[in-house]
Amino acid sequence: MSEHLYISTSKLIFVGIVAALSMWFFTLHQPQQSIQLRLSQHSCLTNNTQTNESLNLYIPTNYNSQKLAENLCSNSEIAKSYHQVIINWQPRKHIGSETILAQAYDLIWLRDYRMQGLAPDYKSIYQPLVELASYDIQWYSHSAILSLDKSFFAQKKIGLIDDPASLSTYQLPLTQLRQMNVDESQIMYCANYQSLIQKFLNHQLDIIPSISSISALKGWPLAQQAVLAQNRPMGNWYVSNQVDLKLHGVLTEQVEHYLQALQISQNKF
Amino acid sequence: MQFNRRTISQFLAVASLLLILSLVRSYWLVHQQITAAINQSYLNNNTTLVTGDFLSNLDQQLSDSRPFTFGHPLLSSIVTQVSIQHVKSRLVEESVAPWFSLAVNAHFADQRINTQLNLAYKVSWLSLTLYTLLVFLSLNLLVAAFPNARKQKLVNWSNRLQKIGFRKSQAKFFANKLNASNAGTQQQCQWVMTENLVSERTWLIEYLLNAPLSALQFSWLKLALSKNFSAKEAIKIATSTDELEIDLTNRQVKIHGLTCQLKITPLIYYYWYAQKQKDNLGAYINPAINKPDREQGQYLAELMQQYDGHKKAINDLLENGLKGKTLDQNRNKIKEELTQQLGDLAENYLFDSRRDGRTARYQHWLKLAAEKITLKV
Repeated sequence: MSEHLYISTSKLIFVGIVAALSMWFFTLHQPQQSIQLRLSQHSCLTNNTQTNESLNLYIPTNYNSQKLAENLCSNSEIAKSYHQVIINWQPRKHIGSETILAQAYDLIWLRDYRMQGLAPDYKSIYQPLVELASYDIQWYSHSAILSLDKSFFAQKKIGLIDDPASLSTYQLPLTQLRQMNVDESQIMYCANYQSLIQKFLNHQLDIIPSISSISALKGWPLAQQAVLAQNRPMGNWYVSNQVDLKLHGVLTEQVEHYLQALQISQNKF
Repeated sequence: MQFNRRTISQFLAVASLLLILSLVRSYWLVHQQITAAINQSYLNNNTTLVTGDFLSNLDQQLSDSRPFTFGHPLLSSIVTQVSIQHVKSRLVEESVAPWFSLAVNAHFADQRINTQLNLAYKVSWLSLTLYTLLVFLSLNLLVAAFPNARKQKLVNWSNRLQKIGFRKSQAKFFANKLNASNAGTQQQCQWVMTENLVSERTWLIEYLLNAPLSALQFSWLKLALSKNFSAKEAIKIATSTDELEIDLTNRQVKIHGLTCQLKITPLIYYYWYAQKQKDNLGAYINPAINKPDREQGQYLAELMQQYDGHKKAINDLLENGLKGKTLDQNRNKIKEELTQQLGDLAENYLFDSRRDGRTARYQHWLKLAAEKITLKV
């Protein structure tokens, strides 16, 4: 009887293993392609199917970008020349000299010094379309700011954005904090602007830098603000010379409309 | 291997297991790829604001993406293509992630994007059938290659049952039943199978399996069968109540439903002892050698006259009364005749004895309880 039990148990185990292995083998699935998502762009189609041309835009944020794309697509002037509109907002570090020289984008929102740095001779292929006014950067705090020094920042949680290309929320505030010898372990890096503002409003952060035109921070008590930097360039919109001159007027109109939604003022060019 | 209902259900079980596993595995791969793609794109642009536009863009791109195709080293995979039919992404608050979720969960900054997918699977039925066949056949061969004690036993039983006249399906059914029954029943059936002289063996085995007999009952059955009773009669005897019926009119005794013959003189004595038992008079003590029991002698002689007994025995009783020696002789005759007819089974219907403390003479009585005795005159 014990032998019988031994045989049937070992049989069960053996057959079970073979069954599991063969099931595993016969249900093998080898993926034959991988999916790639382009989440840093919006696109839309115009009603023009005669051409394959697309209007490529680069902007540094995806805030309201879908709206901008749709407005451009529904514009009859633009539809005359283009089949689709693609708006890209990939991180600024991905914009290289090659991007500028190849004129990969028909419309670019960048700071002048950056364009200069990437392609010193950029003016031969791009010209400014809309020039933006400079802007101020403020510190916003939950408590009154009496003086900006090390003792004020002591024990405070400071929020920055984890984007070294950002002037207002990385480069300028970090330089200032380092000059004041503030302990860098107090700094919390947020992934994006949304999360920075949200954490600040939730009191998870005590103090953050921000441009002054953010609607969530409108009407913030003046005693709890301090100037971080003033008259910083917000960049310009540059248009490629590949774009028909006749379209400049329409594009300017659309950009201004978009900037109004962002609450950013511009100098008329 | 035979193609019966069991084979078909095994085949279907393997097929459905393979199909389910394939669906799960292909789903898992799609899940992994989409999660990786979202995370990858996020790493590429971590400054993206997660807005409604962004989510609908993600949904749009996922539903516009080409179907996922799969291959297999042998032929083609069971699920060849998975296409995304409907996508719905939403933002959920960062919380403890579920250990398993059918939706794709991707982390974006402090938020989690929960993407629910409706997938359409394209199944290669040819591959499924072929792979099922392969798995099914190899497993069956493997099982067949192993020694199987239980199965062997069943086959043995079934063969033996077929040999005594069962149809194949019946034999299988009763072999299973036999295997499940206790050792006693198995022995009884085995005995029936080997006994060539017994008629209606199939009926008998069916009966034994449905209503098992005790060892004593089976002894009665064997006895009845040895007396050339039919199987049905033998069962009737075996299942009779444990009773003794003495019928003077027909000059016979019926023990446990079986009729036995006794000569008239021992029969009268058997009756007389049984009567004592029934009347609850206690054990009858043998009369003293020098003092025979005249009264009982008279009673017995009258009984014998009434039922046509031997003249010699009647005269002896009337002249000399009832002697201990006569009682001993007749008890021995009863024992002899019943044992001859019933064998060891007679034992319970014979006498017990004890030496009486006061008279130092033997007293005898029937072993059988009074309520199990019936007297017929």
